[in-house]
Amino acid sequence: MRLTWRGLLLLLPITAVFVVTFGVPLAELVKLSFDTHDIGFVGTNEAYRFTLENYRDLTESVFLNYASDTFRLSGIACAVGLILAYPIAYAIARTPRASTRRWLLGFLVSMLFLSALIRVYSIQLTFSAVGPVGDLVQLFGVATNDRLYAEILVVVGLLHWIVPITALTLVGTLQNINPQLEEAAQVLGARRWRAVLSVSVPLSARGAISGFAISFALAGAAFVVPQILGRGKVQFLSNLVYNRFSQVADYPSGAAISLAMVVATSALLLLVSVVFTPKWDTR
Amino acid sequence: VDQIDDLVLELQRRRIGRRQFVTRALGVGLSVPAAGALLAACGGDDGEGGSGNGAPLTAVMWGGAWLDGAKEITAPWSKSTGSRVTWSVHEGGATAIIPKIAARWPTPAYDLVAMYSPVFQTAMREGWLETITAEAVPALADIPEAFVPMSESGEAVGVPFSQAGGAWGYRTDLVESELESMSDLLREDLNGQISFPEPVGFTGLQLVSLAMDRGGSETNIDPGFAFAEEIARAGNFGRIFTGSEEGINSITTGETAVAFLDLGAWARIGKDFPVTVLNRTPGFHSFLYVEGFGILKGPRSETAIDLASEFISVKNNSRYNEVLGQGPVNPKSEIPAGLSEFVYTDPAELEEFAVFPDYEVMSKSVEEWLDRWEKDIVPLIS
Repeated sequence: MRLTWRGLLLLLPITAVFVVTFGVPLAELVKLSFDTHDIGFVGTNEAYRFTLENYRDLTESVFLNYASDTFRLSGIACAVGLILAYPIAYAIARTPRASTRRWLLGFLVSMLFLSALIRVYSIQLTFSAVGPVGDLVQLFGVATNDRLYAEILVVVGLLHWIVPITALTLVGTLQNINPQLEEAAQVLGARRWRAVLSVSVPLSARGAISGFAISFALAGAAFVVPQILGRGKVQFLSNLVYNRFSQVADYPSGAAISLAMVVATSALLLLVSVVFTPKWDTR
Repeated sequence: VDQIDDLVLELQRRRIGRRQFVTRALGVGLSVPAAGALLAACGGDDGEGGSGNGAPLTAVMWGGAWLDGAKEITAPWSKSTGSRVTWSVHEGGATAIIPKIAARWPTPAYDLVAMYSPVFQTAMREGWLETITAEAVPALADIPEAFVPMSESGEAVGVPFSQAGGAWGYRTDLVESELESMSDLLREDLNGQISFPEPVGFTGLQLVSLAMDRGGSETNIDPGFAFAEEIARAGNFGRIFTGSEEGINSITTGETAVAFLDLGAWARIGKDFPVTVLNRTPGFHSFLYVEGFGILKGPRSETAIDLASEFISVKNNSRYNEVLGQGPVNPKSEIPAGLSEFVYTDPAELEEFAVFPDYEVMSKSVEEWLDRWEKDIVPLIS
């Protein structure tokens, strides 16, 4: 499709909104990340403006561990979320009755409206040492106060957002796949599950990658889930950003971490897109 | 005559504006020229600017009991002055309010902010706080000087409402045996059982308590970090929390058994659970600080000071602290029943067990401590 002058004019309002609401704050963040900050004081030091110190701190191994935790646990949550969301999306897309489909879609959307704090605290109470699941897992010798358990809780917490978002992303993709293709595979002798795996799954791969990408961006930026369910043992980069902006007023360091998160997340998503998309396009 | 005296007093205390004064003076039988003459004699503002004539205020308070109690005290004040108060709640500790004020200064979104000693220090250093005079807050004259946040030049820069503190304690039903010394924090049976505030919470008092046990202090925090490292390696940290409510939840749900919490939190937990607070146990230090209102410089500061003064009247100061489970700052106020365990009333006890650290030093050091905590301790917490 060729982009015409009229098309460009139509894009102008949204571009302006985007520049004001996203571009300008991001530029401010970039500027801030090169400012100096004096320990014990609020914000930036007016006397000394430019420094790379805030970025140099990010190369320390400790910081890389926080980054690793953020992306590792987000990745695990997104992969598990994709596996859980696919059958849900498939069931919605293939449900013959429109009313059932609407009800199921409404249920998924309503899950996103549930307060984050309610979800997080309900998980904490259910899985804590004195909650029903906590009691159960302790019978199998699982220590509910150790780090691994906190990591599992963070993943469970992230799944509450990831599953509905990924499923909603996949529904559209699956609805666009002609169900007769699966029927054709079955006519040729494939079992139902085989037909789904060999026909629908590859054809919906781009949608799955999109769902994964959106979920990954959300999970990587999660704040409340690691803050409450991580128990201070598991901390994401967003928690470090919060500490710097809201607890000790070291804006330059917070800005540098924020930008590092943007760059790292974008790079990872680009990598996923470059590695997987051509592979599925050739099919 | 009494009614006219009351009116004059209300005008002088800036609870009503000039227009309200004249309207009410006419209502009690004064003529217009007489009301005008009386008004001129009293002085006062023009009634439009906001103070005392219904200027809306925005205040920041901690959540839970702090907010409920504050609303209770504010309601009659709002009714008599016509000033509506919008309450915001601190996110996590009070320290988190600092960048929010900085971002909007010199036009902050708040008029008065609940703070505690170290936050008063930071706000004072930034030059944000209004000076409080005994004329504006008469009850301030009754309050011991040690409780009043003071500037370097000796002027009051806050209205204190509670004497509070931080101390170690534990649920007696969840530990195998009593804790007798700080070294017990390393006991094997306390694996994953300790709730510990991250360094910004309490401005690092918890780290200072660890440091003091090993011969350190707020100016020599290294022993505290060494102790924290030992606890982390022993696997005894069960939760590192940012806000008091998170620590309270951890103790009340039984997730952890031992914690460093504020004395008010312990008092509230103690109502429903068997707890021992180690504020009178040799070797365990408990720290005292003051909670109160910092009034931010701005067009509504006079009204804000007037509201803050409500919290330290003899009756209100006792009532408010009863809700909080903390000690009143007004010596004329009664210490609420059931709080004697959590409040020091005997000067000898105060001398023996309570510590008043240098909050000025701590408020400047906490950022460095947080950095060190993130780098040295968090990776060790298993």
